[in-house]
Amino acid sequence: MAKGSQSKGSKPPGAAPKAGPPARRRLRVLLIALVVVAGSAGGYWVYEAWPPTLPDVPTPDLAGVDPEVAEAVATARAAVIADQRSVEAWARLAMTLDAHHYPAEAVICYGAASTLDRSSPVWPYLQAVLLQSGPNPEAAIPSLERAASLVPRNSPMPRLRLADLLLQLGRIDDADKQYRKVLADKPGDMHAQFGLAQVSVDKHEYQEAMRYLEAVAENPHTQKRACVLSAAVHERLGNRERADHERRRLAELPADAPWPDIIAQVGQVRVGLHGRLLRAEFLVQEGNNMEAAALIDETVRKYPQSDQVWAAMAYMKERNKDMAGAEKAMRMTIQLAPKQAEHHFVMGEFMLSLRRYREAADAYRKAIELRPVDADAYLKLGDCLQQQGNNAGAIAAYRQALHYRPDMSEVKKRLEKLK
Amino acid sequence: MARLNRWGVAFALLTLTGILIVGCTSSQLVDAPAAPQAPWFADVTDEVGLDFTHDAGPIDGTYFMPQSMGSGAALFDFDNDGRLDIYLVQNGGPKSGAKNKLFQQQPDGRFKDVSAGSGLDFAGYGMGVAVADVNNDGLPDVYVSEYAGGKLLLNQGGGKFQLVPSPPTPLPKDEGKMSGIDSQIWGTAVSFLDYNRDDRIDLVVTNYVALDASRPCNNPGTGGRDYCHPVNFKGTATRLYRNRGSDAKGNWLGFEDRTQAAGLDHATGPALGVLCADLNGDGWPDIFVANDSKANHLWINQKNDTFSEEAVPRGVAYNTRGEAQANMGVAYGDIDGNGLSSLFVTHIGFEYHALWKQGPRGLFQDQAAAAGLTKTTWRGTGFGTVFADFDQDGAPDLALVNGRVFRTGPPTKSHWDAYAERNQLFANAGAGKFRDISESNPALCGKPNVGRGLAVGTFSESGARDLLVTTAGGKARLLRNVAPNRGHWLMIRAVQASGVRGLGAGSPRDAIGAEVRVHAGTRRWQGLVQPSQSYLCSNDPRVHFGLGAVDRVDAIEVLWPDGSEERFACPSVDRIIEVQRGKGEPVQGK
Repeated sequence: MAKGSQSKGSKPPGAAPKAGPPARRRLRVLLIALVVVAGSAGGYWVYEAWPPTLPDVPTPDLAGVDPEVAEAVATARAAVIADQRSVEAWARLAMTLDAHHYPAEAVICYGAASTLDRSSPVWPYLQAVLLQSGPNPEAAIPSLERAASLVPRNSPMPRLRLADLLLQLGRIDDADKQYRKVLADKPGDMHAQFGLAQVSVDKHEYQEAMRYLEAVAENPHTQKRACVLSAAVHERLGNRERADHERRRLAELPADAPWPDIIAQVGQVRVGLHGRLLRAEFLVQEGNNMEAAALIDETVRKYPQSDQVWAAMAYMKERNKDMAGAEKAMRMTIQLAPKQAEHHFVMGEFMLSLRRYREAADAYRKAIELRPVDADAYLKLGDCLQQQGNNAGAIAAYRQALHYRPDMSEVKKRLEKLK
Repeated sequence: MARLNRWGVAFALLTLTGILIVGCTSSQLVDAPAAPQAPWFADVTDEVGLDFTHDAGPIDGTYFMPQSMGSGAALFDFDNDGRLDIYLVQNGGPKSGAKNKLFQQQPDGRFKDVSAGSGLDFAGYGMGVAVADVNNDGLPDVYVSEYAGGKLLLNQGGGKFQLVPSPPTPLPKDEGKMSGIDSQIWGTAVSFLDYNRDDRIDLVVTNYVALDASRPCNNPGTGGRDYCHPVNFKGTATRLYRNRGSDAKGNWLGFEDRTQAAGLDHATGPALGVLCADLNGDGWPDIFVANDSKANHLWINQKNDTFSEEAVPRGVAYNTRGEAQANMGVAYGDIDGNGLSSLFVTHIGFEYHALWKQGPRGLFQDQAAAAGLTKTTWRGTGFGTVFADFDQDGAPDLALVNGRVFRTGPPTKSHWDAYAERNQLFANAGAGKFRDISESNPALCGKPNVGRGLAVGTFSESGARDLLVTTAGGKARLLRNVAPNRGHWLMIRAVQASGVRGLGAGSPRDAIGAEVRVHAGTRRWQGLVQPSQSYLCSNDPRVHFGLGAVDRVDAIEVLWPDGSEERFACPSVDRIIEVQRGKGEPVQGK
């Protein structure tokens, strides 16, 4: 073909030979395109249809664990074995293992869920959270990068966690880029600004750090930590008065609220005595007292011999102003664990609030007998004795409190008053 | 074929592509594998006859919290024979048959158990140990902190120590031969210092928590019974005891509790670590207290017998994110030769250890990541830690021992196995940048242990720094420095004569708090006479300097605890030199 073309042509020597007539060229291009398209389609079909390699279903050591936990893990594990291509089953098993502190096994299961559900940022994110606290935190970076690439722009938590990790690992410039990317997507993001404050401190750019710290100074998620950094930065900038001001302010600030995070969902699958108590505590923190009380009631029925659950019930009843119920539950608690000082101390608190000073004093004395260095119990015992008109006894108790805890300024005030 | 999948095919293609690319480019792009490094330590515990197994008390399911905190050790020359001896503390309780042990180093380098009848052979819930000559008789005395107690033992000479009784509460005005130290809480790290610069050695006793031993705790993860977390209990105040000196007849009067008067009662914390050193450069000793899961405290000496707490503005209270961490062991040293020492503090396994670099003087910033200390082969819950120039290249290296405080799984057949972790060793590359060399040091880091105390000292005439590791419920191990191609070295014992200001008339004592500087051309090294560093341990009080290739030193300068400064000649290197206050050439203007 080429030869024929050459013989007919009038091209000068050295010119490139023609590929052929236009129709044949088009046909060749079309064929190549068809092959490429067919290959791609076939490849995609193989990619989609070929079953991904999944890990063996982990077998956690359940010896000696709470039967309810063992049952939850076994059930979740059975579901995976029954349908190994089920994202939901792997995810449930992963979260169950994660919630009950089987991190190595949970990492494997989150990995399987990620493999099966490539569009979800949740599984790589939860896997990264576990890896981050493991022996090699850097292993969390790919999972966080993947999660960050899958979330919508206004959900920057994976990228922020990635940036925080990079900062901790000393990759300051990489962290800087990630925080700035979050700010570009979500201007004013407090977490990112706090991160940039830390980046600036690490770079010794203290004026820049102050700019970011001032921006997050009033935020409930950052105010305390920002105050800490501000005090140190002011000191470095020579603003001793401002540093002292921040130091004083720090003492008044409540702890920073945690950032909203989907890892809280893991806690919701907790079972067993310990898991139930943690869930109840979480519910109380969330202000959901009714649900917490219901959970405690259910747990008392399931674990009637646990002093911890009865103590939790007493606490819930006291919180709900049911003092008779609280006292009854506390007496049950003490009956189950009479050698625990804290139970007697709490009983003392209940009695003191009911102005039953003699009974309160007895409870505090019992607490002191069981934990002799209990400055708080000495303080409260002193209060009870004072109420009963026994000033000498009160002074002796206050002195003992001060002996163990010389920092107790309220005791000093009481002593001064009595003297 | 059935096991092949899409990722396998893709990976194979990528690998092939990678091989082709690499093959087509210069071989310089491929990193040569790092040459295996010769180990720096050899375990000589059995060889030297050091036979000590820590008794942590009965493993009976009660998970008594002091068990998991371990006990410390002291490296000191109790008989002034020039050889370093070892004192190891037990924690099995006062009724235990396992007593603290004193090992005397023999001329051949082996150790002889001389505990029996020494007075140091007692049982208890022993925690920390500090060593100093408190009565200025030239003999080093010992204080052992304990859960619900603490004991001061005066060195009588001849290998005998006498317990000085604690006073009753409240302290009588004329308490006679009482120590004046009333510690009934949970004493942990202890340190001697001369906070009021009166040439009398004072004492700091840090306390952990007001433990409620009747309270059972659950593992935060698994929920099973485990050792308690300190947040379950109230923190306690660090106590300061002033040395009262001696009466007209020369009788030592013991200590006096100055905690409240000094202002140390203004803040409490669950303290585990302590460092007494001049941390703001005013020449007066300050007190850094490492608190477990609470902000650290930095008590700055106000030069009038009081202290002001300044950890937050000085940058050592929290980590770089403004969060309190589980602070435990403390190491202090000039890691980059800039004349300013850094604080290294160990933390729990899921946190990062902090390297608070100093600069400008008195201000600190965590630079652990920049120093390469977050890039590790593995990590763990760190306790004892020391800076020491093990290879004597002129830059202090870093060692730390690890061991969990909570299980990460169910209990193991052998109780302590569930808490064991591997230790870590970092080589200083010369500018304060560290490289993890744990893997090439199996004697120190190869086998998991419940590491707690780590003490550093020189046991041989080689001058090299050796290590002693204590573990909770396990054997204490002595690790001899076998680092190859070590550089030159110099070891300084800085002493001040007893009898100064009419105190005593015995042998010179270690000048606790003295800063020693070594000058060689443009190079300068500095070290501190402060044995109480690391975790619950007292280290070799002599200051060791690795000099690298430097074989001549121009001068040795000592800033004494009283603020005076002297210069001493250094005739040669690779030797131990004793410098005594008052016998050097005063440095002008000091």
